[in-house]
Formats: sequence, structure tokens, C-alpha cells
Amino acid sequence: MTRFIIRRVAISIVMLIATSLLVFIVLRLLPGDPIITRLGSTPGVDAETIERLREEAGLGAPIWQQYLSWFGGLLRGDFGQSYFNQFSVNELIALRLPATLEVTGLSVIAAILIAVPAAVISALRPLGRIDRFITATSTIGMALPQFLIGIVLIVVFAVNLKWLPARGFVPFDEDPGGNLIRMILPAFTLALASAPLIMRFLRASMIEVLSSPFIRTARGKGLNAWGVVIGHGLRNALIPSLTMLGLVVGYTLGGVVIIEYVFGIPGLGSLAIDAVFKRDYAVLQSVVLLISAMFIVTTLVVDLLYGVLDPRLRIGARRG
Amino acid sequence: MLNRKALAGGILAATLVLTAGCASSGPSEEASTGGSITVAAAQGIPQLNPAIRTFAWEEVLFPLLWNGLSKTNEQGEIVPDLAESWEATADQKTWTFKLRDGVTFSNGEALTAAKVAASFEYYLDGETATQEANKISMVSGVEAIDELTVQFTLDEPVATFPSAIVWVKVLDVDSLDTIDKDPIGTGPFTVESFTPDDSVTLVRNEDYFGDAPALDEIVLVTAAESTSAVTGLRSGDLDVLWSVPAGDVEQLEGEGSISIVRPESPSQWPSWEMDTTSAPFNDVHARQALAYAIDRETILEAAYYGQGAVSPTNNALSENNPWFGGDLTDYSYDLDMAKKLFAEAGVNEGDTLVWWGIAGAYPEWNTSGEILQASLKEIGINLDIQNNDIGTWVDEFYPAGKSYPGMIVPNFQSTPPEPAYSLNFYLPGRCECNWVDEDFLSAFSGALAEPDDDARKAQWATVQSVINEQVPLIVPLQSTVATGTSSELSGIWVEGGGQLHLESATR
Repeated sequence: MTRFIIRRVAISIVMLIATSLLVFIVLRLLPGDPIITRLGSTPGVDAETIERLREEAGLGAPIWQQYLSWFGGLLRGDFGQSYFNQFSVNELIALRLPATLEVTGLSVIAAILIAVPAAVISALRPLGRIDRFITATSTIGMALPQFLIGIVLIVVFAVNLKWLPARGFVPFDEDPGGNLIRMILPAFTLALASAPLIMRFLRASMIEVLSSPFIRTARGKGLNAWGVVIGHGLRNALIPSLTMLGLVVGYTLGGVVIIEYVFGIPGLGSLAIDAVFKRDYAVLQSVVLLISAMFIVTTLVVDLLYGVLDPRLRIGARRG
Repeated sequence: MLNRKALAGGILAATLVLTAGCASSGPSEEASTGGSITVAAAQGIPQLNPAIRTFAWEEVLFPLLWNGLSKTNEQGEIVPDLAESWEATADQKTWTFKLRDGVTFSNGEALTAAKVAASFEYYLDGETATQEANKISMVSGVEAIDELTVQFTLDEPVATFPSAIVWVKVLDVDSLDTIDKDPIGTGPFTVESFTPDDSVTLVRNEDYFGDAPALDEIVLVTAAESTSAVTGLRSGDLDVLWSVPAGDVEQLEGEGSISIVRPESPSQWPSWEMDTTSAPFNDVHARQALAYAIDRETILEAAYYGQGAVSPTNNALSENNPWFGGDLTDYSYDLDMAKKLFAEAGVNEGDTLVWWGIAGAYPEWNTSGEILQASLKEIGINLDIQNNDIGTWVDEFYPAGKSYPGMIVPNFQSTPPEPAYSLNFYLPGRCECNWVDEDFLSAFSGALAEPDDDARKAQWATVQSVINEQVPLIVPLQSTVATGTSSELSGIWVEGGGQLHLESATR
């Protein structure tokens, strides 16, 4: 088990370093740079001024030197400085992280709340009418782009029904009610896109579990039907679905970028989009790295939990 | 970070208590109306220094947080702001400004002539890459004569100097190092909180020297996605949306709950730049040919949804601009003329020009490009439309002096209606068209130096005639920046160049 953990952690670290290198290099291969973008609407600036501003921003040094200095900063927990204002990247991230964590967390919870009952109901009568309906709906949910789901929800619930605000954000500590009501649409948008992933996986493993001999035994012993489905079926089917949860978090973190943009949520996603357009290297490379780290850490935790929850894997690891 | 936030909150609470105390000692009618409004734009505000503003939307903050010596009023006139009065010597080279007494910065310090001089020195410093540099580059000296008198010495005569410095905001130069976190100003509002590119929350400055603003709070937010922004305006989540997508204006205008605010005399204009130093656009015939090949009416209707007015004389000044005039050729859509002139410049059937635009933003540019593409196709010339992200786009032609042969680069300019600060875009080193013309330069400085309005109008007409003949840029039309506001609001107005004024907004 210890070897398994060490190996997984080591792989995660290598992946993070590779990600940091990739992001750093790809960004600099794009034409343009932050200085040009910053001056983009300032006519009459000459080439020397631009060169001087580049030097001041540390963009004159060779690329490997820039990488090492950024990486050195990372080791000290210092992400660097935005090229567009006096805020450090750490401060910008601190301003934006809570919103992203909140919308991601709420949407994963919503996705589970949608997916688990749907999977259980589906698995009770595979290929029955209800199962076909749920499976078809989930296919549509997976196929639709998230921003489209978002806009449809806005039009229905904000414009026509006027039940919910169309966009915006207030911090939870300022106005908890206002915060939560504004989170409903974005969280559901993300959940509607990711719930099908959990649902389909869980449905498949439920069907498998429900057809295994020990369920027949349990039924034969005369346990009540729901007790068998929930207590024996769902409990055993959830463990393989845990892996799926790691993927769902990753999927949600990807979707959150566009959802924050649509709903005007001040999170890491909208920070990253702005940074792409402005070539704010320091901000973008740090945010991408952070989001990758969140994904890598989640999958790591899920893998480790899996090891803890599934005795078979524990034994296997000990043998190996 | 949390500590800093808590500290800021503490200071804020203390300030509120203090200001509440002040307010109760002198109750005013306006102060009681109060309220908060949420104002959105597609762009964000990345930083708070007006001298190095990055995007046009940042200008919404200028009249809210700071003041200049002069300002533009709703009628487009230049009127005193921090200055009480000004005068120039007969040669228009020495300008003296008398400051208002009793103005204080939001940190409590008094406004003095020395602070004004220090601000101008900061703007004039070559190290400050400011968009205002061009307008004030003729200032050779600025001096505080006494506590409340500032004197400017100019290298060349400028009769419109008070108009040149409208956007030079007087700053507390000692606190520039912290301007994004704790901006100090003299304006009607102060910053309560700022999340770069997301939101700026402004609260009323109780010590403001002018008429107290009616609103308690203005929240400026970024609504990058246009569908959800327009929806937010409809549903009332947003009170004001600056620069409403042109395609939505007509429909919104028909809805009773939303008003559309437009500038009196639009001075925002698409500018399509070409490199006038490399083939084929180094030949004036090629530029004139292009001017004739543009179906301005269709572009206005299809790309700008009719929000603006065409400019058949290819002029940056709109026809209702008081300074419009000159001996101007009409370049209305004429493909025969275009074909003939292109042939004279060596651009023949089968040749290809490039439209170098931006992907994902400014859909009106792309539509304009497609219309031009169809027009050119009729005379056998290809237009290759290439849209890139903004960084790639700007890198090709900026700064001025780059060579980009055969390219047509769409862009736009937001300028004041005053020709000194709109036609100055054609000056060498400023326009990426790289155009240098002696007749233009001498007519331009002649106009700047002329204090008499009628004589100056004649000079500006000469300037426009040269530009009209030489076509250094394509100006297909003047576009209107439409701002959508909740119909409960009043007092909001928009300058010709599109700058939104919220300082006298009331609910």
C-alpha cells in the first residue's frame, strides 16, 4: 500500500512539472505578448519604449531562464506578478478561488443528487420504459455544450419565469442567500452536463451487481426489495463509481471556465480567459497549473480512497 | 490576504462611521435619494491608473474617481473642472490655470498647484507610456506659480489646450505605487473594493467639492458573454449595459423597461488601416480604389445594424460635427472607379489582399470584411479574411512603423469630436498606416495655433481636404455606442467617442 501511494504521488508530481513546462512554452509560442496587449490602445508608443517595458517585466531574458525563475517562485509558493496591475498572482487567485471552489463543489453535489437516484431507478428495470427515457435524456445532456444549457436555463428561469437572477455573484460571507440563489443556475448547468457521466457508469455497475449471486441470495432470504437495492446493490456499485467522481471533478473544472464566463462569476475560469486574451503569462500559467493540480490531486485522492474502500485492491497491492 | 481583507473592511467600517457623521451634520436633498446601480460592460477593468489605461471601458472611471483641470460637459463644451478659469498669452504658448480653492483628495490632502504640476510631469515623463502623451507632447514646462496657479509653457502654439488636457486626470503621484489597491482621487466617488477584470465597487465621496452625486454606490461588473449580458439587462440584474451589441439595440428599444442612450454627435469610427509605405497601398490610387470599393450603406445596415451614419467622404469627423468641411471627394460605392484606380496601382484581377481581423470579438468587423470581400470579388480581386486572437492581430501592425503589405486591418477609434484630438490620429508615429504628408502636417499645426474659431474652421477644412484626397485610412462610417439603461434611471449620458458618464445618474 505504501509503495502504491508513493508511486501515485511521484507520478502526480512528474505530471505537474510536465504541465508547468508545457503551459509555459506553449504560451510563449503564441504571437504577441502582454506588453503589446497592454499598450494595444495607446497610439504613438515607439519600439524602444516597448523594448524597455519588456525588459522591466523580465520578458527579455532567455525562455529557460524565465521558466527557472517562475519555477523557483512556485517552490516558494510565489506565483509571480500580473503584467496588468499591481496585484500578485497569489492575490488574484485568492480573490477568485472561492467562487470556483463553490460552484464546482455545488455542481458535483447536484450531479450526485441527480445521478444516483436516476441510476438506481434505471437499473431496477434495465431497458424498461423509465430506463430508456433516463438513458436518452442523459445522452442529450452529455451531447449539449454547457454554455448552451446555461443560456437555455437563463432564458427559462431568469427571463421568462423570473425565478432566479440571470447572472452575477455576491460573496457568501456578505450575503449567503444572495450567494446561493445566484449559484443555482451555474451549478445546475454544470451538473446537468456531468450527471450523465456518473449516471451511466453507476447504472452499468448497478445492473452488474444486481444480477450477481449474492443479491439473489439476499432476495431469497426474504429481505425487502429496497433494502436489497440500496443496502447491497448501491453500496457495492458505488465503489467502482468513485473513480468516475474523479473524472467528473476534472470535467467540471473544465466546464467551469466557460460557465463562469457566461454567468459572470469571478472565478479562476474567467481569470484564465481574460489572461489568455491579454497574454498575461504569469496569471495564465499559474491558473492552468493550479487547475491541473486540483484535477491531479482529486484523482490521486480518489485512487487512494479506492484502495482503502476496496479490500481486493488493498490485498493486490500488498501482493504486488 | 484574509488579514488584509479584514483590515480593509475595518478601515471601511471606520470610514463609513466617519462619513455617516459628516452626512448627518449637513443633510442634503440629493443624498437622500441614494441607491445602488450595477453597470456592466463586456470588457473588464484590469487596473486603476488612468494614465496607463488599457481598455476603453476603463474611461468610465475617469469622471467618477478623478478630475482634470477642464472637462467636457453633456453639450460637448469644454468647461472648468479643477480649474476655476484659464487664460492664454496672445501667442497661445503660455497657459495659466487658476485652481478652485478647497478641493481635497480622498486621503484628506489639499489639492495644490504643486500636485497638479507633479501629475502633469508624470504624464509627460517618457517612462509613462500614456495614451495622453500625444495630446500634450508640446508641453515643455509646467510650473506651480503659487498655491493655486499652474502655468504651462508650450513649444508650439495650441489654441485648444484646455481641450487637450480633459483626459489628463490629476493624481496623487505619491501614491501611484498603490493605486490599484488604494486609489486616491478628487472625484465624486471612491473605490470600496476592486477585483481586477471582474468588478469595481464605488461609493459616494462625501467630501467631493462639486454637487453631491445622488447614488450611494455604483458597481461596475464584467459581463463578457453578450447573450447573458443582454438577458441580465432585461431581467433587471443589470441596470446599465455599456455598448449594447448593435444587433440587440432595436429590440431593446421597443421594450418599455429599457432606454437606449446615445451620444449627440458620434465620434467613434471604424478605422481600416493599410501600410502606406509598402505595395500596393503606398500608391494613393490603390487607397482611393479601396475607398470606392466599400459599400458603406450595406456595411452600416448589415454589420452595424444601422447604428451610426455612413461617411461617403471617408472622414473621421461626422457630418454633424461643427468642424466638418473642406473640398471633399465623395467616395460613394463605385466599383468601376475602384477597378480603374486599382489597375493604375498595379492591383489586377486575380490578385489577393488580406483582411486582418480579430476572431471572436467585434462581429461587425467580420461582417464588414465579408461585404468588402463580395465587392472586391465583383472586380476580380480576392480578399482573404484572416481572423486571429487579439495578441496575434496586434503583433502584426503595432507599434507604428511596421510593414504589412497588402493587408487591410480593421480597428476603431474613440475620439472626442474636437478635430485636434481625432484627426491627430493621422500624425506620424501614431497611425499604424505610417503616413507622412507635409501638407497635412503644416495645415494641422496651423489649425492648432489658430485662436479664432472661424479661421480655425477653415484650417481644419484644409486638413480634411488633404486627408480626403490621400486616403491614409479607410473610415467607412461613424458608429454609435448605444448604452442600455433601466428606464428608471436618468442623468446618464455618453460622449461622442463612447465614454459613459454616470456621475449624475439618479434612480
